[in-house]
Amino acid sequence: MKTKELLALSVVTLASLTSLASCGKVDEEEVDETMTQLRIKYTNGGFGSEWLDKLCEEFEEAFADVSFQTGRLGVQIIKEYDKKNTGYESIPGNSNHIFIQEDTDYYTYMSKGVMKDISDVVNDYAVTGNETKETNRKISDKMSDLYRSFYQYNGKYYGIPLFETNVGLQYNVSLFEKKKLFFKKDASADEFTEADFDILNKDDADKEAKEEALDKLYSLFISNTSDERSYGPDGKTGTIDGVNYSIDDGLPATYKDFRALLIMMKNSGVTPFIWNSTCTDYLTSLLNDVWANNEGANQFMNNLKLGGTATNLVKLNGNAIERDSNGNPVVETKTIAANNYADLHLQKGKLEALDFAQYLIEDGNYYSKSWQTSYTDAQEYFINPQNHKTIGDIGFIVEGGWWFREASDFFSPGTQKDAKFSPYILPKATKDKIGTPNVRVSDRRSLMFVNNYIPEDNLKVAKTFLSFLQSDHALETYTLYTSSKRALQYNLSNETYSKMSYYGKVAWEIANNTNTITIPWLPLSNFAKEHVLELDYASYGYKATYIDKDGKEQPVGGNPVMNFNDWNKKKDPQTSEQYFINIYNYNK
Amino acid sequence: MKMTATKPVTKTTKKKIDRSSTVFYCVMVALPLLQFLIFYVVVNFNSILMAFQEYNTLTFSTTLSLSNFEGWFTKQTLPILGVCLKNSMIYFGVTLLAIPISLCISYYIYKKFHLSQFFKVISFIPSIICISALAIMYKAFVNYGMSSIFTTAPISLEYSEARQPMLIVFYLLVNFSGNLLIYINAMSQASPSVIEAAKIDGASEFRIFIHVIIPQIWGTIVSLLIIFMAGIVTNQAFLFTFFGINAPAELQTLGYFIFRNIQEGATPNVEASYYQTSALGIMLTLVLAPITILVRNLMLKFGPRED
Repeated sequence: MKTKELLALSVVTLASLTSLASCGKVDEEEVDETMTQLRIKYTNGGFGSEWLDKLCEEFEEAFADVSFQTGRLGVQIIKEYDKKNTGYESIPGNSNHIFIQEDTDYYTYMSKGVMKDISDVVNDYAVTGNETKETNRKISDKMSDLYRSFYQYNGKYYGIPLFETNVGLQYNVSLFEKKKLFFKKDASADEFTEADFDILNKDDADKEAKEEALDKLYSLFISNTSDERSYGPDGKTGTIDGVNYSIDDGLPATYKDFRALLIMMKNSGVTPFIWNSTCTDYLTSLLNDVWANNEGANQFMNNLKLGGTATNLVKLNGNAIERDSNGNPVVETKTIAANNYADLHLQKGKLEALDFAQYLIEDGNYYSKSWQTSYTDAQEYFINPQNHKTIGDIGFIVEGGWWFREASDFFSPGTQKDAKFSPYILPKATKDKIGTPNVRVSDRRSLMFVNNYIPEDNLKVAKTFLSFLQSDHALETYTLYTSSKRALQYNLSNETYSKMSYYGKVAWEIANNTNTITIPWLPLSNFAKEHVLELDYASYGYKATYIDKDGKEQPVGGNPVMNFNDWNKKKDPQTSEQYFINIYNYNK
Repeated sequence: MKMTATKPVTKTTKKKIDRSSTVFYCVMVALPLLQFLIFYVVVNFNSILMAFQEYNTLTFSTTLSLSNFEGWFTKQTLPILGVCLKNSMIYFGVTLLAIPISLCISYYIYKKFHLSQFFKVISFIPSIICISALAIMYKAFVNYGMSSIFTTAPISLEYSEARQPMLIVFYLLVNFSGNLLIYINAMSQASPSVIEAAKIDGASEFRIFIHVIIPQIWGTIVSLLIIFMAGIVTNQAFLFTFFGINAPAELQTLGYFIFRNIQEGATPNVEASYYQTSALGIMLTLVLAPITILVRNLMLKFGPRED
């Protein structure tokens, strides 16, 4: 063979090998034949792997003197981390014993028989060490009723959810303090009229009227960081009956407050929002949160049951919303069944979510290149605006609970723990809803399970480890490292809490607060399970068609923020009311 | 002149010839038929079967049903399919429009005219560079390099009037070189003596191209057109490369729509999606296959001939 051909062949071989080598990161550790091997495949996403590394290490140590197989002592955990899930079709031939994945449909995997029955683990107390178990609550008791009912199939459990987090707004607390963007005590923009907002938003408004409106606006906000703050969307402050109501103090309580805040931010040289173009479903998830937060947990869950009694359905009069003398939509109550579940698309909370979507894309409200920004760049701009002079300060990022761990590399060494960022508690649409619980939606379907094709020799150690991962200690470890909550019920010890970052503490305070209700986006009735294809969190609520300015019917994707923005760009603006009715007509 | 008498064909000889012809035909057809059975029917048997089964996502059971077909004729799905079909046809249309240009450039290179080698290298670059890298470069060039022309970055999730045209340009650029290679290869098979004869008869380059080269490579053109046609429903037009699973609804092609529909993680229950998508695939095949065969036959019947 000629030298050139040989060279070309070598390059191709090298390239192929390199690409193969990059497929998943498998622990290079050599197999120790004197120990029992436990192989774990973990989808290493935003939450990182530190929590799992720590627990694996502890497990190996705790069971160093235990024999799970004849002739072998101790456990050697071999980890395979990458960002991809293992598809069900690859599991039968897969050597891993335990899988910990994201965005995995439990029922699809179950239907394929790739998950081992782990009812004995779930219906037992969690393992804490060699021959020691917890004694207070069984693992099933740590699951909420919703998870228990979803994960139990014909009386058996095949998997356990990993995390529970919403995708919503995260805000820069330091920036809010520096720019004094918190509402002062008893201040509210509820008296503001549309005309006031128009004047505030317009550059060419009458000078005198604008100055008056600006005075009114500035009077809402604190002058010093030590000033007493408003009570926020929960309408309370301090700790009452063991519930901390101070977390949202100073934050807008209503949409009008929120709009006032956005104008205040822009006037202070702050770009309110940034989001990314890699995962645009974050925007849909945010709006699902807004919808649920306005609709209330019980009413919102009717969507996940495709049934129930809906008490807050907007009444339509022909092709328009029926309104009372004050201009508020008239609502009605209906029993939802198989023949009319499309009526759930008339929930008033959704109409309010669509209003909220429009605030995000109003002039100057978002970083204009968000639609071309990767999620890592968005995080970096949000954390370090000082490094990007053309971008400037940004108040909110649309992100999931994993972002703070995911963005670790963007913090200067040693600064992340005390960096003042926080999940944001959303405002209510109207004043009358102040004080109702903070409702959020956890729409990522995480799952841990044992490979049904696991060799019998490894089953005991796999089940023991899976049980260990559900112990209170393991749950706390997860929260400590990820600043997020496992999808089980547990508390944090003072010791763990004190070790957490500022963000982690606030995130925990919100997630574990009895005033917060987190709804898992799961089909919650048998009927809903049969119609699961309709229940895609990224499209369920907002798909529609509309008649464009040329009179043609066009499909509309499931992302309202993108849709409103596109309509504006096409100079074919649609109102939230039109869009709302279109969604209903599309689904009915 | 010595005449040789031909042996009259007897009934037995005719039978023998017929039999051997049948055997030859069977032997020749058996292999592709076997290949079709193994690599299409057997492989796709379950996929085809799925189209006629309704999958229950609660009990995981299936029942024979035509509901997967009916499901595509609803007011929810028809507008989406309409847009996808329109986009697929746009890409097919521009591919057709590009054929004469590709043929001209191929001929230019084939004839080794001025700077032909340079054009050859330039044209083949998209085939040499990895498509993802090419897409990133193109996106950066269009969004940032041409930012003085476009107020909104054309290749982004945000609507821009230039978005689809820019995607079409990329599609053409990438597909162009592949076709070029095939055309040049076909032209090089053209008989030099026929070209020489045409030259002696005083034919211009244009006439040689139209009346000698095109008829000689007509088979190749027909084959490529059949491939393009068959690809109407599978063509993703590089939307996944640019947008992942988030391509805006108005840009989606049938190929992209089908691919996204069965993408794990993009749907709440991928297993159930398989059944529905299978039905869509069968319907599209049933529509497209006869049209493709018809077009092929018409082109072969009415196309230019070498004689």
